[in-house]
Parts: sequence; C-alpha cells; structure tokens
Amino acid sequence: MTNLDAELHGLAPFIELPPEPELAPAVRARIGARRPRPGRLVLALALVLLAVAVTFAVPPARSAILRWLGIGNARVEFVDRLPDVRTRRPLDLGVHTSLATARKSVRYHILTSKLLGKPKDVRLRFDQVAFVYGDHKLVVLQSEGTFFTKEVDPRTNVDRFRLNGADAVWISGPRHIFGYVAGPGGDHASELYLVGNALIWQRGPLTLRLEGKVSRAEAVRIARSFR
Amino acid sequence: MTEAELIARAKRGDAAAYEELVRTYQGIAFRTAWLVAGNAADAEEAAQDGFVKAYRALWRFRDGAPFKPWLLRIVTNEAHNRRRTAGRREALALRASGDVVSGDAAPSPETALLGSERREELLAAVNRLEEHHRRAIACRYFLDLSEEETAAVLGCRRGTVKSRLARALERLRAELGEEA
Repeated sequence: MTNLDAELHGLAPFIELPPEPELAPAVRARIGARRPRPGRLVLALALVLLAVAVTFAVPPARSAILRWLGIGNARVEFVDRLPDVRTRRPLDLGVHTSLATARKSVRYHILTSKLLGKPKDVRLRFDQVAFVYGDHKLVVLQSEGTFFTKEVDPRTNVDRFRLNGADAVWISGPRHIFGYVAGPGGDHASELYLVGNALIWQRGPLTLRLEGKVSRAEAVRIARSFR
Repeated sequence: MTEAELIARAKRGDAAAYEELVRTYQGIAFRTAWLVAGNAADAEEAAQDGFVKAYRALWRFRDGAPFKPWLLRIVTNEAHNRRRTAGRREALALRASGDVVSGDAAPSPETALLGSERREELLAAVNRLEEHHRRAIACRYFLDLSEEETAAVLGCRRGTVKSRLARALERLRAELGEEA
C-alpha cells in the first residue's frame, strides 16, 4: 500500500455523510404482498407455450392469446389499449460518447456494421450503446443487461422469425410504444415513446434493436452486417 | 438466517425476508446513491426505488451470485436518472467537528497519520478530479466497496476499475504535487 493509498483509507472516517434514512418500512409498504415475477423454470415454460401460441395464433385473435413475447432482453407486450402517449418524442439514448470510450465502459464486445460505416453519433445509457445514423433516421442499439419493453396493440404487426440462428422480431404498423426498463432493474413507466418500425434480434449474449424508416428487408440486411 | 435463505424466501414473496435484506443494505445503497446523485433527497428516493425494483426483478437474480453488486447496480441506475434531471453535485466535505464518528473504535494507523490540514488538502484534490475518477476513488476508499462492487456502481469491467483507479491516483498525485 502506498502512502496515498493509506491516506485515502484514513480519510474515509472524516468524510461528512448525510444521515442514513430508514428505508425498510417504505419499501415493504410498496412491495406489499406481491410476489416477485415467476422463477426461471416457469418463465422458460411460459416462453415455450408462447412460442407455440405465436405459431398457431390467428391474427384477429392474437392479442387475446398473447400476453408478452421475450427476445433476449426485450419484452414485447401485447395490450388491448396502449398508454396515453400523444406526442412522438426523440428517444433518450443517453450521453454522447465515442466508440472508444463506449468500448471501455461496457462489459461486452460492441458490434459494428461495415455496411453502415461510422455512425454519426454514439450514445451510452446504462450498458446500452446506441449508434445514430443520418440525423436520427436510423438508430441501432445494443446491450447485454439493459432490459426494455415494447407495447403493441392488436393493430400492430409483430412477426417473429429466425435471424442468424436466433430469434428476431419485426414490429411494424401505426401503433407501437417503446418503454424503458433500466439496467437489471424494473420498469420506467414514465419513459414511453411512440416509435416507428423496429427490428429486435439477438447475437450471442447481446440484444440489438434497430429503429427507423426502413423496410423489413433492409432492416434484416443491416442486422446481418453487425458483427 | 443466511443471505441466500433470505433471498430464496423473498423470491417466494416473503416480504419480511426482503425487509431484512433492505435493512442490511440500506446504508451502503443510500451512500452509493448519494455519491452518484449528488444530494441526500435524490439519493433517498433512488435507494428506495432501487430496492423496490430489485424486489420485482428478484425472480431473475441468479442463485448463488453476490447480491450486493447486483443491488448496487440497480440503485446506481436510479441515482443516475435523478442526477441527469437535477444536474448538480455536492462536493465531498469533511465532518464539521473534524472527529471520526463517535463510538468508533480507536483510530486506525492510517487515520492517525492524517493531520487536519492534510485531510483538507487531500479531499480538496479529490473534489477537483474529473467525475469518473472522483467516483472511483470514493467507491473504493470512502465507501470501501470491493472491485466487483465498484465495477457494478461504475458500470464497467473489473479491469477498468483497476485502470481507472490507477489513473485517478496518478491525477491525484499531480494535484498534490507529489511523485509516484
């Protein structure tokens, strides 16, 4: 241990800290008697059942059958009525950064696309890296541990297919909402945005999402280029 | 009851077991949130919301994994959100009395070494560091977090924690006009 190490350790007891609040009663009141979501085994079983449901679902009855669909860290939730989001706002993609800094900040290998080349902007939010191309006309996001939701109503087209040997979902149609789930934690209900077409796919441990005014074929071509 | 047993019970919906986990970790969760959010009010909200979200996400917590870094990551995310909104930070300060907390055991040799002037000089230099360096120093030395826990708070790899700390100490030495 160097002198500076020792001095910093020695400084700790002198640091002024605010008094610690008692959090347990408030937390207990908020969680109530609700049980955390189902365990992994139940979840895996539910996913299998949902996959079967997707395969056999008749489009008009789809919203009545499906409750949600999991793709990596994404969760597509089928709802009868979308939350009241009237305005289309730009997504909060996080802080501006560079690819080099982003690489130092996340635990995973960041995928890039030779097809799209260098992004106009790189953003970082939790462990989610976003590449922005051409004045926000196309955004590609990737993360290992940032969970997010997509809420769709029965008029939205949701097509599940295989891409690079893994599950993928193409979402298109007039009504479709994006809502964040931060890091490994729970929902951020306040962050809801109306968005356009989107492709969600997996590559290794990563979940990637593409949003923009592109066709499904273009989106798939772009997705395949991310390595 | 062990921590693993408390977690297992909480996963089954035992709110009392989870309350015990909250009591165990509320101190470090609040202090970590305070470090990131920069003020006590936002830190309290962030810590409370973090505990609630961790409970809801408990079903996907891997059995046997360390709970503290997982929890701190969630709390830190909450604190980050509030910091972005508030956009302010309080500088770290010394206790007004200049004494260590009453009831503590005899001061460690490291603590006894530090005179009051040196404490002020050292903390002022820490406060002048860039935010990511200041935070790394505070996590490791002031909150006494492990490398894994610090990595969870900083949102980076353990290796990055090491290199960031090394750079932070280097800057600190430069601020203090000292040689390595």
